[in-house]
Amino acid sequence: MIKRAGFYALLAVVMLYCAGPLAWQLITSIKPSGEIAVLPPLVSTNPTAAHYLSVFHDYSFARYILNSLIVAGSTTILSLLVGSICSFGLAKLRVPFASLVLAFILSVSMFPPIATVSPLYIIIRTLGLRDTLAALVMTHTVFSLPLTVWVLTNFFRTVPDDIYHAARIDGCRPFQVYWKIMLPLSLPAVYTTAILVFIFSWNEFLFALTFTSSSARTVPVAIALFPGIHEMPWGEIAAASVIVTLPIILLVLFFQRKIVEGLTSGAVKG
Amino acid sequence: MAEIRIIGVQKKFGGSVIIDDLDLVIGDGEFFTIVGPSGCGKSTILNMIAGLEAATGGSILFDGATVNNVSPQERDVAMVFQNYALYPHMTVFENMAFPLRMKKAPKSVIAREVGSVAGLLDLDGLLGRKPRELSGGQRQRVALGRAIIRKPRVFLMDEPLSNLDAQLRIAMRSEIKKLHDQLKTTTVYVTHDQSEALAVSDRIAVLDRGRIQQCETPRAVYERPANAFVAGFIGSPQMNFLDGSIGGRGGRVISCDGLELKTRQVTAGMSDTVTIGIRPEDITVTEKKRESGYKVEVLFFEPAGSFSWVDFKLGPHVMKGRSGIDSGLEKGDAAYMSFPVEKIHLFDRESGMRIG
Repeated sequence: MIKRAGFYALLAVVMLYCAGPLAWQLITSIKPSGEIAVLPPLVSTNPTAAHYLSVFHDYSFARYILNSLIVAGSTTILSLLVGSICSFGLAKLRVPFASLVLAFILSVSMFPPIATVSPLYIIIRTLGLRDTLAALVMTHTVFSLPLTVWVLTNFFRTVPDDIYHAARIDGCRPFQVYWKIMLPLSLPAVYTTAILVFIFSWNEFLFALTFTSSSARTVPVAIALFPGIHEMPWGEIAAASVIVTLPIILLVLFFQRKIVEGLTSGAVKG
Repeated sequence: MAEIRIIGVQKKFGGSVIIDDLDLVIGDGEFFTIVGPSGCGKSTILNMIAGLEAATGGSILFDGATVNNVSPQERDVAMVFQNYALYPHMTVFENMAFPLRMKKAPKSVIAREVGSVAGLLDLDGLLGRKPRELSGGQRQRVALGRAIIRKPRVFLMDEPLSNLDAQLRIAMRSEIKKLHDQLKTTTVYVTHDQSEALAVSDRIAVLDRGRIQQCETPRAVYERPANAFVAGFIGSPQMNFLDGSIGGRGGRVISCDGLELKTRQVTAGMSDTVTIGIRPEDITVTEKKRESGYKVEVLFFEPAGSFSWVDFKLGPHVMKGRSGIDSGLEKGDAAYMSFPVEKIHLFDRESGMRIG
């Protein structure tokens, strides 16, 4: 009994810790401007949608969301396409020094973005890609590839070699094995990776701040730079934050059902 | 259908030689089995025939044409794997249709072929299921179906039955045999189970450490094993081995540790230190002394249905023989064992080669 109570108490603490800021954000976003600074942050007696409307009216927030969707979507597709081909090779073909290659790829992700942002800025300016979505897609793809390759290589390695061999004998060239067998077979891992990459790109701040100035601005940067005339527009910031959380939640909910473990069960003797 | 000719094939992994100078001819339409203990290189040979692994030396020919540089998808072979290796995201129908789809066969042909193969293998009701919804035996049949559907030149089977339970294994092996009788496709079958090899094959190659020890019909391999390894590997329970030496007039007596066994005449000029092999099924153990019986001590009595296996001690040697089911022998009893002299196998003790 005490054990159970302790468990629920712990659960409550963790819940509060994780969901607290989110709830505060949500509550703030529907408070009238005058009540925003009031503590404790309880739901207001006269909630308002003014901040939400303001976000779309007074700022070109729809444009920022579209930018973010394009960047995160393209990054995800590109990263998975390139990453999965690469992983297939590393996991199933006889690539010399595959482990070394893999370690090298992982080491790329060890550079802190702040250390690479200046040279990248110069490259992007030289290429004439400043303030374009392409600049963000490019850098986000590069920085998400280590994760993609790492996750997918390890997943592909769990697919029995015999399945690869069977497909080869059944008439597939190696690339056809990848496209017709490996990729459909690995959809759960692909979806998982897709979510992670999408979230990374959706939230990415530093590159987006550095490489864009106006037309290619993405949501995180836009929110941080919401201009206030006399004070910080906390209500709008809260409303915008809630809005940008929605796609992520929808994405996770949508793919969650697809991420079924044990899709490979039945292929081989388990 | 094809004749497979393997000439001087060698396979090295890193520094170690797995297969060295292998010569083998598998006839058109033959059911050929490669049998040996695990790690003897039998799967490697199969993979080289399939093209999944490249031979590091020698050549492999299908119907006289070298296939060393032909990729697996162009060799027109089909393979059944120990782990079935079905495509888990495809239904039974899609699994079996896959090789035909890869050949760009028209839809109507695919539907017809899958239908007829499903009928042959009793899979009609299962075509819409995914592999995970099938039992082991059903999965194995799907794997077989996927192999036979495109009428390959050669079937390769890599321990296809090892994952099935004993009863199913025996049922499936006769199905495979029947299938071969119908299709007459050259089949190379790899197994570590000697009883499976004896049951299905036209010819058997017994492999040990990458070398073929004997390559003959099941009957010849069983009755006249070429060396002590084959004798010990083929047949279950394992053959009894005794070390001895040939003596007496005309080499008619073999003595080992003071025990003298009368035997048929051994070819003269052979070395006189020998290993004697007697199959347990050739040894009869009785309570009462028979003519030419040897006194033994019973160690263990194991009923096997219509008869019983008896472990016994002959002098210092522990051996196995058989007795009637109602012989009433028990541990510690004195008994007598006898065997027909023509049933003993003699091997040179140094080389292990058969000498008589």
